[in-house]
Formats: sequence, C-alpha cells, structure tokens
Amino acid sequence: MSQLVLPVVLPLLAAFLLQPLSRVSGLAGRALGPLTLVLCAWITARLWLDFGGAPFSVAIGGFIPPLGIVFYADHLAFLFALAVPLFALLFWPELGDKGGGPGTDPNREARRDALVLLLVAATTGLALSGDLFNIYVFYELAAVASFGLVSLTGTARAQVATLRYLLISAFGSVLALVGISILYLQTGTLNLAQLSQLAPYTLQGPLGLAAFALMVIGFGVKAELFPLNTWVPEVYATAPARVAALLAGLVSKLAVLVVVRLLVLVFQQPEASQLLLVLGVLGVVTGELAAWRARDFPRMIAFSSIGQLGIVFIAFSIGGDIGLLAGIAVALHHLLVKSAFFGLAARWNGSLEGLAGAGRRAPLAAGLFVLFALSLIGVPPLLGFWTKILVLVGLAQGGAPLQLFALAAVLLATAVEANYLFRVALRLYGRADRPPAPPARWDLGAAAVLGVVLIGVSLAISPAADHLRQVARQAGDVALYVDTVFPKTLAGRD
Amino acid sequence: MTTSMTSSMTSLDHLLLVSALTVVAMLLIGRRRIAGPVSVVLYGAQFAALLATGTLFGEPVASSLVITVLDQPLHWRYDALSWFFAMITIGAGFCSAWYAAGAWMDRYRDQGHSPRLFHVALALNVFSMLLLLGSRDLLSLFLGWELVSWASFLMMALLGGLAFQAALRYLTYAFAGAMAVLGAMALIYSQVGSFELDPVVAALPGMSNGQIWLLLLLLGGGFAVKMGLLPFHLWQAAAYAESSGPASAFFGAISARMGLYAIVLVFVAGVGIARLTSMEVPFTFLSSRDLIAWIAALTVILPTYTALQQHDARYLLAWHGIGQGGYMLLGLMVGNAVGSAGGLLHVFNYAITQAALLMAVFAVVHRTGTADLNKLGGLVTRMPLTFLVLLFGIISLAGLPPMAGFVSKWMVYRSLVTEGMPLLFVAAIVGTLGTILSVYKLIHNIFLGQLRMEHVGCARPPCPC
Repeated sequence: MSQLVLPVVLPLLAAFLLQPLSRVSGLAGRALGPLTLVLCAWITARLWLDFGGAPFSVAIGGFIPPLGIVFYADHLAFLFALAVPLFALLFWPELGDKGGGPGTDPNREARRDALVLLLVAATTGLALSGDLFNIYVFYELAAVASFGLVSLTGTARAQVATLRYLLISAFGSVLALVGISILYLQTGTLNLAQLSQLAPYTLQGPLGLAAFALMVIGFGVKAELFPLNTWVPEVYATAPARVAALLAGLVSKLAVLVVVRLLVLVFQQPEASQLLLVLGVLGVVTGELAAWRARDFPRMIAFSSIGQLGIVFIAFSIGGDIGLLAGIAVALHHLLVKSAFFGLAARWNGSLEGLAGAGRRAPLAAGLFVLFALSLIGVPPLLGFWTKILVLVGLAQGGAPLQLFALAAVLLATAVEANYLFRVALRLYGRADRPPAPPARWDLGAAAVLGVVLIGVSLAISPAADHLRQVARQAGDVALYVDTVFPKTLAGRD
Repeated sequence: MTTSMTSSMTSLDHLLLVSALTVVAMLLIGRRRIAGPVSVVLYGAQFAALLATGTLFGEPVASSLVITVLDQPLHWRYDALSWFFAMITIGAGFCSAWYAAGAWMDRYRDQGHSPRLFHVALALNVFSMLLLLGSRDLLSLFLGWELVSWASFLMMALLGGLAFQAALRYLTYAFAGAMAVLGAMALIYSQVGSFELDPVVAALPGMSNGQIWLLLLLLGGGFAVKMGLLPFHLWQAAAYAESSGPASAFFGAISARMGLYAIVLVFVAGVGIARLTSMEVPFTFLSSRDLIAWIAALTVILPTYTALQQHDARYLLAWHGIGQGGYMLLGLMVGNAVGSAGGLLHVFNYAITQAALLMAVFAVVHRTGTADLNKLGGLVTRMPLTFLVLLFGIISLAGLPPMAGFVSKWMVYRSLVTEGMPLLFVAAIVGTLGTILSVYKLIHNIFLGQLRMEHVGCARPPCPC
C-alpha cells in the first residue's frame, strides 16, 4: 500500500532526471516523460483494483498522524489520481507533434516536459493528500509549474497573461494561507481527519466561516471560481492548446477536489454551502454571458469553462450524497468535454469568423465538436443531460429560495450556452474560400478517444451511475475518513 | 442504461423499430438514387405498422422497451391521441419523401447538397416524433422533445445561408423552451418524487393554484415555443419557409403540432379544463382558461395579418401556419365535445391543406426559381394541375365549404357560440377574414393575371413517380 506515494514521487524524480538525461540521449529524454506517466497510471490502476473498496491511509515515513503527514486513498482520490496521468498522456506536449514551432530546441523541450511532470506530481498529490500542509505545498507546486507552461509560447501576449495569472494566483495563495493559519490557530492541527473531529467545537461561527471563505477563494483561483478567475480567458487563449486543456480540464478539477474535501470534512455549517452556491451562481452567469460575447474560439470555451465550474460548485453546495454525486458527475463530464474542446482548439485558435468552413475540411473534428456541445448543454440521452438533471433535481429538492434562483440561473445559462455553441457549429459547416487547417492528428485522436468514452458512458449510464453513487457515498462518509486515518486501536489507547 | 424487454415484442415495438430502421437505411443508402423510392416504401411500412397497433379504437399498447436510468424508468405507450398525431406524422413523412424522390432530389443533388443528410434528417424527424408521441413519463417526454428539436434543427440548417440564421434562431427559442420544461420537471420531481406521468397527474389536484400557475408558465411556455403561440412565434415563419421544399411541407404539416400534443397531454388531459377555469388571473376577471383562449385568438389574428403583408409565397404560408395553430388551441380550450373534436380535426385538415399548398408553391419555385409574389403571374396556363391543387388548398385553408378546413373551423365556431364566448367567436372570424384576403393574393399573384416573359417557356412541374 505504501506504493501509493509512487505516482507522486516518480514524476518528481523523472522531472529532475530529465535535464541531464536529455543531454546524454535525446530519444531517452523524450521517452522518459510518457513512460513515467504510463507507469504511474498502471500503479494507480493496480492499487485501485486491489484495494477492495475500503479506503486506507498511508503515513509518510512511518510518522503516525496527526504528527506525520498522510496520504488518503478512497474511490474518489483514486478516480482523480488515475485521471491525472491519463489526461497528461493524452495531452502530452510533443506526442504526434512533428517538430516545428517553439519546441524544437531540445533543452527547451526537456524543460517543458519537466514542468508537465511537476504538474502531474503536484496534482496527483492534491488528489491523495490528507492534510492541509501537503495540500498547500502541492497546490503551490502546481501553480509554479503552470506559470512556466503557460508562458511557453514566449509571445508578448503570453507573457502578459502569465504575469496577470501570477499576480492573481499569488494573491489567492496568500488568502488560502491566511485561511489555513486561522484553522491552525483555532485547532492546532492541519490534518484533515483531526480537523473534522475538532471542527464542531472550534470552527463554528464567523471565524471558521472566514477561514473557509478565504480558502475557497484562494484555492478557487485554479478552480476558476468567481471572483478570482479573470486570468482564465487570456491564459487559455495564449497558452499552448494542450496546456490549456490540462489546466481547464484537469488542474481545475483537482482544485475543486480540495474545496470539496474541506467542505465535507471540516466545514459542514450551512453558511459554507451557501457561500459556495452564491459564488457558483455568479460564476455561471458571468462566465456564460462573457462566453456569449466572446469573439474567438479559445476565449469562448475558456469563459464557458468558468460557467461550467460554477455549476460544479452549485452542485457541491447542495450537500449530502446527492450533492456529491451531482458534483462529481458534472466535474467528470466537464473534464471530458472541456479537455476535448481545447484539444480541438489547437488549430482553430483564430476568431470565430475564421472558423467558417472548417467542418468541410475536417468532418470528424466538427462532428466531435457537435457531439461534445450537445452533451455540454445537456441533450438527452447523452451523459451531460443526466449530470444536469442530477443538479437540477437536487436544487429543486433543496427548495430554498436561493437554490431555486440557482436553478433558474443554470437553466438560463444553458440556453445562452446552446446559442453560442451552435453559432460556432453552424459556422463550421458554412462555406468559405479558405477554411482553417484541420486539427493535428494526435489532437483529433485524443478528442475522438474522449468522444468514444462519452458515448460509452452515455450508453452504460445506469451502471456508471451506480459506481459513481458508491464513490460519492464513500467520499461523503466523514466517520469513515476519520476511522481510516486514526484506526480504532489508536483511538482505544487514549 | 438498463434496458429490459419485459415480454415479447408488441405492435408498438414494431412501429418504432420500422421507424428506426428507416433512419439506419437512409444512413446506409441515402446517397443513391434508389433511396427516395425506398424511403417512401419504408414510410408506407411505418403507416402499416401504425394501423396494426389499432390504438385508435382499441386498447392502448405499451412498448416492451423500458429503459431505467438512475432508478427512473423511461417507457412508451400509444393511445388514441398518440395514434392520431402519429398518423399525421407518418403521412406527412410519406408525402414529403415522395415529393422529394424524383426530379426534386436530382436538382438538390446538382446544387451540391447531400441527399443522404436530407433523407436521414427526415427519417430522424419522423422517428423522434413517434417517440415523443408515445412518452408516458416526463423523462421520455423530454427525450422526445429534445430529439424533435434537434432533428428539426438539422433539417432546417441543411440549405445554409439564410436557413442557418433561421435555424439558429429556432434553436435558441426551442432550447430556452426546453430549459423551462426541464426546470418544471425538476420542480415536479421534488414535489411528486417521480417522473412518471400517472403519479404526476394524480398529484396535480393536490397542488396549490400557485404551483399550477408555475407549471403553466414553465411547461406551457416551453410547449408554446414549439407550437409558435404568441409571443414565442417569431422564429417559426423564417425557419419553415427557408427550409427546402419537402422539409417545409413536412414542418408545415406536423412539426409545430408537437407542441399542441404536449399541451393536450399535460394541460387538457392532465390538469383539466375545469381546473384551468377555476384559476383566476390576479386583478382581472379572466380565468387561466380564458387567458389561454385569448392567447390562441391573438395567435390566430396577428400572424394571419402579418401573412397578408408577405411578398414571398413561402413566408405567406408559413405565417398562416402559426395562425392556424391558434384555431386548434382555441377549440381545445373550449373543451366541450364539439370544440375539442374541431380542434383536433383541424390538426388533420390543416396538415393536408398546408402540405398541399407548400408542395404546390415549391413546384412553382422548382420551375421558375422564385417564390416572390411580385415576380410571378399567369402561370395557370403553364401549370394547370398545380393551380387546381393550390385552389382547393386555399379554399380549405380559408375554411370555406366544401373543403375539409370548413368542417373543423365550423366546429370550433359552433362550440364558441354554444359555450357563450361570442368575443372569441368574433376574433376567430376576424382571423378567417385575414386568411381569405391573403390567400387571394397568393393564388392571384402566382397563377392569374399576365404571364411574365421569362416564364413563357415554363413546363409543367415534374411528376414525382
């Protein structure tokens, strides 16, 4: 079980080895990254298959929690820990890329690969960490890696976007750090399990809520949560498309996971959920309206991503097993769809007018776009419909005025979304003298794989829903979390 | 998706299977010339399968296909009302496919459009409507509703150019309506705990007037979009008129009636006219039933007089389509036997009429290349048969004896008078006056008067057989 640290440690190790190795042999340097990712995915998958459904925790270095730091593995953690290497592999920068562009210099290539590996290590760590200290460290590591990645193109616009990202991200980190310090002052621990034991006594009231608000807004920077999400459109529009796919699809989901763990384990007061709901609604409304006004494809899907993550937060704010189920479902669906969108956007990165006729040159890509768009706006019988109806029914059952307002906001935003996505779809099928270049074969392949997954899950929706319900139930079981990190034998001793 | 086939296949399964098979067949052979005749035969087979269900006078037939998702079953069942609408749907598909099978499709292909896409879109429209008409729970209703919307969108967008804009506008309206329906579904589920229609209908009497009003606004609003009721009608004329000929005829005949079917299913059969009558509109002397009836009456009048101002024959007929929907709803809102029968009969009569009219107009377009009423004239000498079709069609559309349209309109008028709604009766008559004026313009500007020089060489429209 202590192999659980390998998916975090191996990419770190590989990242450090990459520079020297690529000087010795360029081929080995290029192969090291993907191989490490495959190995990580394989280890995680095997552990997930072996662990038999009961969550377990690993005390790093044998130091017993709460003094030592822990990794905690349940279905939810495994789900995301497995998604990280798989998506990183799918959007690995140089796979299927036949030279050219800024990445031809081998030194530069090695640096870029090292950054992706760092990002992978950090996000896997976020999925598995069982204490706030580690979460903060991994979060910062992910931030640093992504700064380097988004400025890769080296253009002036990319530099400006990165600088803005850096400033906002640093501000968010400070907020999160203040929140964490409040927690530490109040409870004297950063272990999530111990925090959840102490929370009912020490974190009720305004101080606890303030800590939660600070951490949600702080960690929300990466999760594109309103209000610290103004970096999103510029960064996604100027960063390499695959990096944007990783950030929008994967990294944002891991930041969401952090917020969810905090919400479930530590902050169970209704005000915390309400805060999340309000921020989510604001995100949905602003994101979708901005996307509607956007005039180029990457910005449009970036704004739309803000809106979608708003729905994710709304779903988690519902609370209970149904809220968790809805939230995880929406998050996973968005992971599939938005990654594929950014993959397709690699060559379709000009203004929307410039996309005219692209569908005639690349029928498969345009077909995939339509498929993902249909699923994103929730057309039955595709997966997106079922995730959306989970959220809507959850909100309607909650029945509070604010929740009904959120329900109306989600529906309205979806109608707006349908308009702008299909404005693009029609343009793809229009006639033009000079249609844009079709997507690269690897990007198209990645999108096709995700499309097949989407259709597969849509067809097998019932078993998928049952599995996901199990995941949600386990993630929502606070007592299980505490018992796993502090086994009964230990609890019996004091 | 847990799919369970409970027992042996029922006659409804056969119908849906034949319809799905049509879609698949068109996907496979749609590119070839034989696809046209094959599709006509397949729609004929669907019609036979529908007759074989025998649900018009017999017992309702359920499909043995039940799909369970998230513990919620989706199932389908046909009763007399479904049969009636399905009969018109398949009939419209049959006629449109036949219309498209011959020379029209050759021209369409030569213009660089894809025959396969057209065939698939038409088959998909028919299939999704058949699904919608059988839905017996809100989930399958929504599934069918969305499928119909997207299939229509596909068929509208086939021609490109102006049709793209019209289709996008349709999509925006339809999707906003669908979202209202979805919101209503979530609210209903939180109240009733089920998506199935029978428990929902059973729970309706127990709901407060406020809740019914909310449903009326959300569901009724959503359904009204597809039907093209005021004030959600602005998308319809352009979307239907800019489609290709057979598609336009199909849309005009049946597509908008799916909204009417859903209104009948939920509000006439579910909530009930009596309940609607008992709900007062605050600060007025109107009940909710009066409100709907007046919306229907305004839907008759305003679009009909908009039709009068059109210079394009296609738009003129499409605007009429919106107005005629008002008569159907008006009859149903009267709610007595004669009124309801008149409203439903008008669905059938109008479908035949509108399809015939649009086919005649598009036959003219096929030969002359324009539907602009100011650039046509005197074609009666060149296309006498088309003239006759249009003549009979407009008599029926205007609701004059001895054509079918007269019968159903007369029933609606009669029920309005006997039920004591004279003002609505006057409104209906005013609408008819507008129809008479505008169809006169239609037939005169196309067929009567001076033949234009450029049309002297026009041949008769090709016979599609």
